[in-house]
Amino acid sequence: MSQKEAWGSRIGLVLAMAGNAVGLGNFLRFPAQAAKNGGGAFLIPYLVALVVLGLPLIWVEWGMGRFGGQQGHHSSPGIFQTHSRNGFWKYFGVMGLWSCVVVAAFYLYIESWCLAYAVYSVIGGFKGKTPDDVGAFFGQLTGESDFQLFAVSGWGMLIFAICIAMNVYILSRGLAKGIELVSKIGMPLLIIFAAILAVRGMMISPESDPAAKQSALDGLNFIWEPRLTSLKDPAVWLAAAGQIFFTLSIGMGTIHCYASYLRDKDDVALTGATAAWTNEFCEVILGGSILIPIAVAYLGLPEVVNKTAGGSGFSLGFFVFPTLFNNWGAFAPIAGLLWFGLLFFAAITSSLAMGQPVMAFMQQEYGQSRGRSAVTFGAMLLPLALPVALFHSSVFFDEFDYWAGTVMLVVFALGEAILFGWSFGMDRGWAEMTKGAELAIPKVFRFIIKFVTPVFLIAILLASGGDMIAKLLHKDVADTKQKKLADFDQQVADLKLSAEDRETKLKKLDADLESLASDTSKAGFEREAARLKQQDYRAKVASAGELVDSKRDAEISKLQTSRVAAEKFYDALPMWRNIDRLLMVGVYVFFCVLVKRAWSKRQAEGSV
Amino acid sequence: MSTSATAFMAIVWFVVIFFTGYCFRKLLTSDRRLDGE
Repeated sequence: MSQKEAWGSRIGLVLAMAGNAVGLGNFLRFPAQAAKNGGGAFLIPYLVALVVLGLPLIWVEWGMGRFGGQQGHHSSPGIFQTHSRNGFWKYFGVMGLWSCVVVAAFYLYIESWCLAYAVYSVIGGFKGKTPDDVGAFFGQLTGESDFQLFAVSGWGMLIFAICIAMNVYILSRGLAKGIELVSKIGMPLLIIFAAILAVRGMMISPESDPAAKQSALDGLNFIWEPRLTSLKDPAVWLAAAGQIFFTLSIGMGTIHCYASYLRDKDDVALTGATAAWTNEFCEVILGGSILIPIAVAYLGLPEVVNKTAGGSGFSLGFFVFPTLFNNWGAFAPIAGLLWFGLLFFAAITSSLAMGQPVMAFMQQEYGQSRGRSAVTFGAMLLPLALPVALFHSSVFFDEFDYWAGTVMLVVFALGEAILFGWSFGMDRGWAEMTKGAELAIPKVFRFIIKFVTPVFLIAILLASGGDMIAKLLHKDVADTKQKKLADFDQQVADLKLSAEDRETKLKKLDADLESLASDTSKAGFEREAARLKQQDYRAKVASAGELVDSKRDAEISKLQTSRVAAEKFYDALPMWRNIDRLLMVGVYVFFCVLVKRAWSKRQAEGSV
Repeated sequence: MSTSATAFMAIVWFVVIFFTGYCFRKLLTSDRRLDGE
């Protein structure tokens, strides 16, 4: 039968909850989002979103979790059902189990990359390597290559399996001896690793390091320079709200689960706020001081602007960073270990949080032991983790990330805001949230939780509606296909240019470069980034003219082969994505059936 | 670093460190204990 779980200490609970929130996004996504969305000015909508979205939902989830826990529920179907008599809510609460399993399926894969990179760094594997070499290492690790649907890598799968086994083992040790112990070790180490990298990074300048193009302080300046005009752009506000949402791990059912192991009179206001602010410390202060400053110092600002244009720091963190550390001499392997080690700790403390709700559900509703429920979680992961590892990331990985890791979190949070503020009732909700509180929550949060938070969440969903529909109808695939094919056609056309036409084209590109230099509609760094892109393209066109005929023909033939492969890949992608969506729906239905069976049993026993 | 970037960074860092420190200080000086402690 299931064993009774409890947290060992308040500090352990705070570190576990902060570990749940601190993830890869703190170090890879936040700096890129800030750089892309107005620099220092991004922090204005970011802090506004923290107050009207982040903290209210944190307290709501802690309050709901503790309330559900008093009635013996430790996962969101049961916790949601305790807040309403309407039977719908337990099926809505299934989202808190479903998103944990679906997100863990791809999150654990990234975690395994961090582990592989950390080990490879320590043994000096990245010494003397270029970003292309690191890209090739990543290709070996994932088995992924351009326009190939299947991506199989034996040792990549082995490391993935080790990571899943490690998570299952830690989870099987229980709350205090498993998750809490890992958080007590992992979180301080993460902060120490990040602090060492940030301090060492800030010391980079062209005067002290011949490889540096700029000072790291130029990177810090770029991330903090307030470009206030960006505040007029609704997309910046949406990006800030999204970042707050993902960074705090709201809307996943993990916070409810952790809080459900508290007693009725235990505080949730102060512990919740402490965990949230610890996450902000790791994100704003540590996360903002590593990726961009170090990258700007060695690559120069224009290149970093281009590399983070999509709002993600993934390619910088995984492809470029291992090569930049080589500039640090004997410290390079240690720096690689610190960087990928901190990413690994950030990831594992989050992935463990995704396992606990599923385990709690199986223990409580199906009488499984702790060890058996941990193995059940591992088994549930398999049908989702295997396709993630065996297919190109555009197939399962991206879809899981978008639907389970992005859209459904907002839907789940909107549901819980309505349930807590309107169905359960704000009077009862407020009394529940502030019971035993060691921090006086300002009364304005009553109004914020009931009105502002739900409206903000609806606004996020409406603003993202166009994207969702386009994604649902595979318009994004069609757009990408069109862009890629046009790119291939352009490259072939450039190779086929006659000497005279090439000369004309190069003159036109030079004129474009001139006009870019005097384009005052763009900020200085944007101008430089656009010029860098244009210069790269010009160099390509010029070098194509220097190829001998046989080499040019071989190049054209290679491009045409790739074009055919790309066309086939993008034509097949919608079908695979539909299979992927059916799988996600299937998992949701599976959990609904488990919940229905559990409640039927409860009714028969008279314990509903 | 420019003055505006430095000022902006200083304000945000102060806010984050102040609230993190305040919460931790309150938590660590509290005499409340959990069940398992």
